[in-house]
Amino acid sequence: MMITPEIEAALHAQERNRMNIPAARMALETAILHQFRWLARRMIAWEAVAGHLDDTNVWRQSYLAETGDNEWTGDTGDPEYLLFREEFAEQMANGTLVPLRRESLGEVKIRAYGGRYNIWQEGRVNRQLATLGSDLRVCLVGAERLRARSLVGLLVKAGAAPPAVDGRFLVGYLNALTAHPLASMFDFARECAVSPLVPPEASGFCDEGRIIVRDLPFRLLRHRGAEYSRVSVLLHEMGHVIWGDLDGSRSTHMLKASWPMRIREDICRFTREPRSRAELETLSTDFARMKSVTPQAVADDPDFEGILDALLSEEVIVELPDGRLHCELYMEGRPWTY
Amino acid sequence: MGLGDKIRSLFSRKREPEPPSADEFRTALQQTIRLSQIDLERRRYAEVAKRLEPLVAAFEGRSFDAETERITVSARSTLAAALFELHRVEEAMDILEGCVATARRLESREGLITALHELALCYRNQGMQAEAIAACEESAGLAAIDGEDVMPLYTLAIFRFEEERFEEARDLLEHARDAYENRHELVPLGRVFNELFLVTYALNDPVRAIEYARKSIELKLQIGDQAGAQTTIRNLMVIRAQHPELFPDDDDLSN
Repeated sequence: MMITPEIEAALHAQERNRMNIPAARMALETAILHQFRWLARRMIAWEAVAGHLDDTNVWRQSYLAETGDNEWTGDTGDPEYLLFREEFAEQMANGTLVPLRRESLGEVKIRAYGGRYNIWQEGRVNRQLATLGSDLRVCLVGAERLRARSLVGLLVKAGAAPPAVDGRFLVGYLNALTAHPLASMFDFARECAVSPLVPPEASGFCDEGRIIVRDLPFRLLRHRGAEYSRVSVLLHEMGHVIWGDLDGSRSTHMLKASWPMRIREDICRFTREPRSRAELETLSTDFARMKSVTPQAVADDPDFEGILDALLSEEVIVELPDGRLHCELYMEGRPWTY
Repeated sequence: MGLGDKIRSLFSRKREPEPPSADEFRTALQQTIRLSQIDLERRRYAEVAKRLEPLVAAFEGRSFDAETERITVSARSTLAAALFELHRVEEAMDILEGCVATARRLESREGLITALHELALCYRNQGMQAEAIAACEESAGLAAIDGEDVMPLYTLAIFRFEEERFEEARDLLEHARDAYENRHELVPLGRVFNELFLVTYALNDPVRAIEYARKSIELKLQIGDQAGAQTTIRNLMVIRAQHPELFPDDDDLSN
């Protein structure tokens, strides 16, 4: 079921209250994860029915995304894994799991605060999550092309061919920093719902100037005892974005203007739970690494310490008696909007 | 002159520096445009003009291959945008009309979107409202097809607002909101919330208007735009004076 009565009731309760950010965050995360996991299942069902699902790694990927089972060794004879496959087959057999073809994904609506949104309005969902201090994010490949298509009739008279629906999506919890000076970053710490059209072995890719670094391929590789480097994947994908900026194939100056604000938001989210200065030091290092790859473009931007100092002086982040830093934006009792 | 002398003279001859290759020229030009666009976004208009004016003057009377000419359109549009902000509107208009003609000839969609948008702003400044709207509509329509630049969409919404076509303005702003949210561009997103606040208030929907105002304040505070947040708070105060029933007694707008 796309959304259960319990999930709907929890969202509705928070929409009426809007004074309890932690509860609102939890309700929204639950709703988004449930909906995208269900979509992933429906798409797997279609791929299975169409006879396209011959890669065991797609099943492995789905199992890992849904369960987050870090102890699993990749053994397809594992009872828990077999149970997952059996449950799936049962849902298909009894008709509760209706297969969803890729082309229909663009018509799906997602329930978040304030109503149901087109799936390509992932930015709306992500803004709600960010406002509530969540690390969860939705990444729908090709969302911007689908959004632009929605303007047909309003601005575009005729002659525009509809964009193909890509069909790939990833939903999961991100690492602390979500922005590069030239691109948005989806640096997944843990993927929780993945379209079967995302190749299990793809460790990273770019989409419309966004950098996606994945977590599941590394977990799948680990089962085989392979080594990996997330940083090298990140740097490789950064290379694509920087090249796109250099050859003028993508305009990024607006992103550059928003970059320090994004980092500011990231620091707030990171200090939602009190953090030591040593923990923030790791963020500062990552920040410096990103800034160093495009030094000319961001020469005038504040450094990490400058952004943190501003947050402290505005008292958005406060220093606790034990020296840890805490952002109070996401505490119960503060109002929020959607 | 013996052979040895000939060889010596060949090595000692001062050689002219080789002119840059077409690729090197294009790359350097794109770098310059890129830096200028960042300066534009940061309102350093005089620096953009200083950097690009001699460059654009040097294009005069020269012929380029199609790819390079496309890039020169971008350089000229960027310069025109800076000149517009420096109140040299007629100069900007001249440049942009040339850019539009070149971009049409080259069938350069990206160049046309930008030039038409900048030209619309010039026309509006000169009181040529009909021409401004036509240029902006064409720019926004072209941009919409590929999900390109969102600015024409936003500008068209402002035009509709000025024409008191509030519902159309709201619909366009909602699209701009979707685009900026998808792209995580927080600075322009804050501006869109502001405009949505004003448009919905003009549509006699104060409840929604207040929601947008709150959203605008929330975002601006989150990104550290204290001055912008204060402006929206002041606007909200005006609405509170007119509609006290919409605000709880203990509503602290600055919270």
